[in-house]
Amino acid sequence: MTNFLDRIRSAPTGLAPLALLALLSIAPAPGLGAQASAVSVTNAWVREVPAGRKTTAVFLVLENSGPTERAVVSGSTVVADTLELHEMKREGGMMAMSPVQRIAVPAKGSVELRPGGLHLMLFGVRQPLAAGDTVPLRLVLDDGSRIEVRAEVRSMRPMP
Amino acid sequence: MSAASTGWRRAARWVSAIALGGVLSAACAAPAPAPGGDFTLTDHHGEPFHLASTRGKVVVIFFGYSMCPDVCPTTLSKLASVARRLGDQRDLVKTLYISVDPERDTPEVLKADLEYFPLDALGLTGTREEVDRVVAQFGAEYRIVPTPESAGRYAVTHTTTLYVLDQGGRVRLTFPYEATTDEIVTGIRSLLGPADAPEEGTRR
Ligand SMILES: [Cu+2]
Repeated sequence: MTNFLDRIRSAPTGLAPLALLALLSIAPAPGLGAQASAVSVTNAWVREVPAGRKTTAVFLVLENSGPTERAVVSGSTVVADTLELHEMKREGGMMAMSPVQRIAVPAKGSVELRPGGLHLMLFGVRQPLAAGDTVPLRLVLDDGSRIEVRAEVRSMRPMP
Repeated sequence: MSAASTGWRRAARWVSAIALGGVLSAACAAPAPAPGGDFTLTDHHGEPFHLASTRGKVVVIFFGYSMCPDVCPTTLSKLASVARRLGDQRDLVKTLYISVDPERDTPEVLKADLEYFPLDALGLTGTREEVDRVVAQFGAEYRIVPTPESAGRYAVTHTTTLYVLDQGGRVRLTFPYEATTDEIVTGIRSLLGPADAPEEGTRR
């Protein structure tokens, strides 16, 4: 028994890309059906990642101009293996970091991701990120819409 | 200067430091036996480190782990600002960052974190037992929290207090995570004494 992918692989090499193209065009193009989101992002930045470090955090402000609460439910970036939604919380004299399912953005309101609170956490950062670099991120909302974000890498060293 | 007036001056510093520190941990505010004491761990160069080797310096200690993308870099960044503000006196201060995640925080991992910051700091790690002993000595706390849904696998909830030791190795001040650079600089200066004349009893 051969499935469709096997047939693509066994096709003459010149035809394989064409077959793959045909396959892709059957699937609905991602993002095509999604309407423009009422949620926008400003002031997105990433902590600089020195060589040898594999994790970092992203901070930004989410604004919802619409009449309905929306929530960020996931995201991704080409510079890291995983993007997760996280929150730092005070527990007495301790700080706790935990993953969260969603980051809600109230109707006609905003939410700030900032040090010591909500953040996007990047695991498995693939290359050092230097101050001034720009990191592309994609956030997915609970209504299926996506937001493309460009986050600026900022130094953690004190200003001279 | 008489011993009594020195004692009084020290007490006054304590009070002002408490006022500056804002919210202080109960362990510090209470007149309980001072926490701390000597310990031995492994530094980020892989060498044994004895706290006793820092006598004569003001020592700033905090606990953390390097997977944490927030608290620990924020603290190191703040302490680098403190060092800058201390100017020439920065050489009289040593920062120690003690990992509460020794399984992941090998000396090499700590090195990457520490070399980024312009700060005279050592990252310290050890066996779980060694680290636990130091945590207990300082009245700090940490808790490993499994996060199976996360690529991090587990997070470490930990005390974020800064402990400031005087030149004799005694814990003299503590600062909460929210303390500002100014507050920490003022606290450290109170232990260093005037910039031009090191405090009596200071060994260098
Ligand atoms: Cu996180």
